[in-house]
Order: sequence, then C-alpha cells, then structure tokens
Amino acid sequence: MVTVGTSYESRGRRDLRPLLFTLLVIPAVSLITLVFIFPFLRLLMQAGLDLTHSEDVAGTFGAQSVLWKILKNSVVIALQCTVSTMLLAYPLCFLLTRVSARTNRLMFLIIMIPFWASVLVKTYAWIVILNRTGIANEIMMSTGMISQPMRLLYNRFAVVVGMTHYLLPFMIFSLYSGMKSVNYSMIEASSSMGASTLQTFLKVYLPSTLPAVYAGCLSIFILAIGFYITPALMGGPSETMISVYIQQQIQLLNWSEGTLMAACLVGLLVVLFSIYNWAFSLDNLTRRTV
Amino acid sequence: MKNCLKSLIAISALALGLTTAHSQEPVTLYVNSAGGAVNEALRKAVWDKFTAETGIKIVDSGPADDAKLKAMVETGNTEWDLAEVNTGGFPRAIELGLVEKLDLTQLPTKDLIEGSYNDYGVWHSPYATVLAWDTRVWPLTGKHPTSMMDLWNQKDFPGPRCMYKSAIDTLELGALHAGVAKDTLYPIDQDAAYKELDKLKPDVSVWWTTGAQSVQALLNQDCVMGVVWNGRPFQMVRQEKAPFGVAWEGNILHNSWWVIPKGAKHYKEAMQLLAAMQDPKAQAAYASIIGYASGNKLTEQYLADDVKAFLATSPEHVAQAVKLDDNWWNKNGPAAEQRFNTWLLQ
Repeated sequence: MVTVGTSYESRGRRDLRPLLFTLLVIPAVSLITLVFIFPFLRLLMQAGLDLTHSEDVAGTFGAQSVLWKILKNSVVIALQCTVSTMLLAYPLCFLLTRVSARTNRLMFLIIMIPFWASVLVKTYAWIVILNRTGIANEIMMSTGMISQPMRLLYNRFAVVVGMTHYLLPFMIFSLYSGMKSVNYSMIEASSSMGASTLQTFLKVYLPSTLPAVYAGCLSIFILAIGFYITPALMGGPSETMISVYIQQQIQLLNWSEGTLMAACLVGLLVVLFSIYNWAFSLDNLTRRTV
Repeated sequence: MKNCLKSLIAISALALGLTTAHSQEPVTLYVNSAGGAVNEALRKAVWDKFTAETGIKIVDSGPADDAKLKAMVETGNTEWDLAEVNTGGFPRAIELGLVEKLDLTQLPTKDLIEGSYNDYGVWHSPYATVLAWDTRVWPLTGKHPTSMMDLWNQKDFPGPRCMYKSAIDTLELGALHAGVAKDTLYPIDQDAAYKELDKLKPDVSVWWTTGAQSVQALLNQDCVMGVVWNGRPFQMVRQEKAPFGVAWEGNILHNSWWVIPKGAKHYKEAMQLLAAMQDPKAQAAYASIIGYASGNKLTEQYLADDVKAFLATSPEHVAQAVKLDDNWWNKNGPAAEQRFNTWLLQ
C-alpha cells in the first residue's frame, strides 16, 4: 500500500527523475569503475596472457585437486556459518519484535557494540577465550565438566564460532526488518480459529518471515565465503578458505593463478548476488500484490 | 615580438631556477621492512640518529612484501626507497629486474662478512628458525630438548607441536630427520622429507602463520614445543621473562636483504642510510633490542654475552645450522608450496 501511495504522489515530478538518478549515481559508479572494475579487468587480462604464454599450464592446473578442496571447504564453512547465525538470530529477532520499545533499544545496543569492534580484535578475543589455558577450558575444568583441556582452537569449531560472532548482527538486521512487518492480525485470526501455537507458527508466522530468512541467509553466505582473517588465525590446515589461498598465491608471485581464483570468487558472488537481488525484488512484488 | 618571446623565456628560466632551489627541502625516505618490533628497533638503534645528523626523515612500513614490490616496479610507481626481501625472494627480485644496483663504494665492504653483500643487496638481519620449548614442562636444569629433531621425539618429550605453515623450513626439517647430511641437503629430497613429515603431522596442533602467533601458542600451552624465529624468544625471554628454552642443533639460517627497488625516488639518500646501517655500534644496538644480527664483522665486540647466546650468526650456532639455499627456493618455491598445501589439506 505504501509503495503505491508514494508513486502516485511523485507522478507530477517524474520528468526530473531520470536526470536526478543519473547525477546521483555517477560519483559512486565512477569510483567503483576506477578503483575496482578497471584494475580487476586489467589483472584478469594479464592473468589470461600469462597463462597462455606459460609453458607450465599443466602445472597450474595440476593443482586443481587442491583448488577443489579449498573451494569445497569455503562453501561448507560458509554454509555452517549461515545455519548457525540463522538458528541464533531467528528466536532473538522474534523476541526483538515482541518486547517494549525500551527493551528493544537496549537489546539493539548490546547487539551493536560488538558489531562496531574490529574483526581482528574479535578474533584475538576468541583466541584468548578458546586456547588450551583459556577462559573456556578453565571454566569447564574447574566445574569438573572435563578433566583434560579440550582442543577448541585451530579447528573448524573455532572458525565457525569466530565467524558466526562476526556475522550475527548482519543476520539480525536482515531478519528483524522482515519480522517487524509480519501482520499480527493474521496470527490472532489463526489462533482464534483454533490453530495450535505450533500450527500458527508453521502455517502463518514462518511462511511470512521466509523472504527475510532467504535474504538473510544469502547475504550471510556471500559475506562468509570471502572471509580471510578468522580462518587464517583461528583455523587449522583444513580451514584454508579461498581468500587465504589467493593471498598465498599472490605472495608467491603466482599472480595469474591468484587472479583466476579471485575471478572465480567474484563470479560466484555475482551469481549469488543476482539470486539475492531477484529474490528480493520478488519479495517486494508479492508484498505489493497483497 | 621577438623581445617579448625572449623575456618570456628568461622569465620561465628564472621560474625554473626558483623551483629547483625550492626542492632542496629535507628528503623523506620510505623504508619497508618486517614491521612491528623490527622497525621499532631499527628506528631506536639507527634511524633516529640518522635523521638527527642528516635531516632526512624516515617513514617506515611493513611487513616485507615481494608482491607489493613487484606491483610497484611494474606499474612504475615505486614508493619505497629501501626495502627488505627474504628467502627466495631476493634472487627472484634480481631475476625479475625489481632492484637497482647498489653503489658498493659507499659501504664499508672490507668490514662486512663475506657473502653478506653483493651488487644488489646487503644483509638486513640474518635469522634462524630454531626450536623453542616450554620450560614449565622441561626446566632448563633437567632433561630438555636440544635439537630440532626432538620435534619427532614423542617418547622423551610428549605433547603437541607448533609448526610454521610453509614449505620453507618444514621441508628442510623433514629431510634432516630422514637422515640427509646438512651440507648435502639441497636439492631437497621432498619424497623423503614428506615421509618423515607424515609421522610428525598428527602431533602438530598449530600451523602458525605469523611470528607473534608462534610464541603466543607456546605461551598458551597450545603446544609444548615449536618452530620459531630466533628473535621472538629472545625478546620474550628478556622483556617478559617468558618460560622458553631454545635448541639450536639443526637450526636453519636465513638471510634477509636490504634492496633499493627499481625506480626508487631517493637513491642517493637510500645509499646513505644503507651505509649508516652498516655501522658496527648501530648494529650492536639493534641486535641488543631485537636479537637479530647484521653483517659487520666488528659488531661482535660490542655485544653482551647474553645477546650473543641468542644470535643466529654466533659461530657456535652457525656450526649447528643448515644454511638455507635461496636459489633452490627461488626455483622450486612455488611448486614446493603448492605440494605442501596439498599435503596439509590431506
């Protein structure tokens, strides 16, 4: 309803909009072209040239098994982070929409403070917590839960914990905006017609939050797959993610290979982002018809 | 009209003269080195004095980065006037034409250790990869690790190990444990090395990527012994009384080099600074702060014994060392790292 109203009101000024749109978009687009698209295309062309001129093409592609393993690692880690942030954020966001305005503000403050801290600081904080003599092990030892310190750091668990911590606020923002616009009279209608709480949740609430869930999951996956610092500092060898690998190749002056990997990553992200965009506009579309 | 042109030329010539006179302002040198503690030590030991004497300011950055060096030179935008390059990177930089020839007449070459300088570079700080262990587990007074090979000795020294996540050093250690003699280590028999590394791999709890991480993991007891660069335990034992012991048998000696990147904007001043950094007293001051030596033979007389005990270039340590072959790593480095990464992921 709201969108229809706005477009009606602005109809009188419509002739100005294309010009204004162009003017507003020029600075951002030229900046991105200058510092990202142009250098990236140049590097890509260089990499293509290097590879066609190089006699070591077989060697470069001989490393494919490593590439696949790293690509698979990256996808799996990103999926694990997506699921864990989803599971943590969903109930929290539900709560956020149901509490008083004051509590809501307080809760958002608590969510935002760590969000503003640097990812490096958060990573080191987790290293302090999770190492063999760290806080987590000390608490579990002193309460008698374990007798030997557990290996909590330099493995998959540590990486997923660290990344989930970083990514959680992004999921919360995405879910919260979706959940806030759920029409509660539908839920009241559902329960007044005799549906159980579970039925109401599964048949009414969950479906109306699904667009936000999809959008949140996709954006978290996109953010997670390019992660560098956390897997590099908190992971073991099998948590080598694609960015870590690209950095290694660049340092070894294997620029063509590093660039091709970077191109793969960007390509993957473009595909994912297109899906995200498509789903997102679809979501708008349905809302408008309702 | 002709007069007019003449006076115009005269004026512009004058203006040109004025601008050249103006450019006599103090020069700022951009120096890229390891960064962190190393740059701080260089500043305290050499740079501050150099700036006071010559008026040449120094802006530093880090870490050493071969990829950045290549990018700068290839795009014709050399920001660094002086830069550090490491293992394998030095011969590669010469091969790729990334560095200027030095003016060796400005350096005190007769006082420098043989092999510590050539047409393209001078030693920055040679360092060694050594074994550090936790003295809370094995006190210095009792039975404790004495050799890099004790990494494999789970019988006497049980517990998790920390290793450097790189083929460099790791392959040398594997080959040494396979029984190859130090002086015939190159070319490295990689198959033999990996056979030994396969045995070590299950005991490795941390594959570290930064020097800080290597000692932090030991301190946190994520491992009981590990591979570290010799300056790290030196600083931590001296400054923080950290519980580390160091074993030198089978240590791996690395060179790191100062180079002037191709197209550096202040070649003359960079040479001046290079010469100042060869001063034995300055090198001694640097070593006392950081635990890394440099190439002047006269430096040793200014060093305290407890500093010498940690230096990679002390004669008794060199006698126990494998000298890392930069040329082998230049030729085989990328392929070796690729194989190492594959092996790690298995």
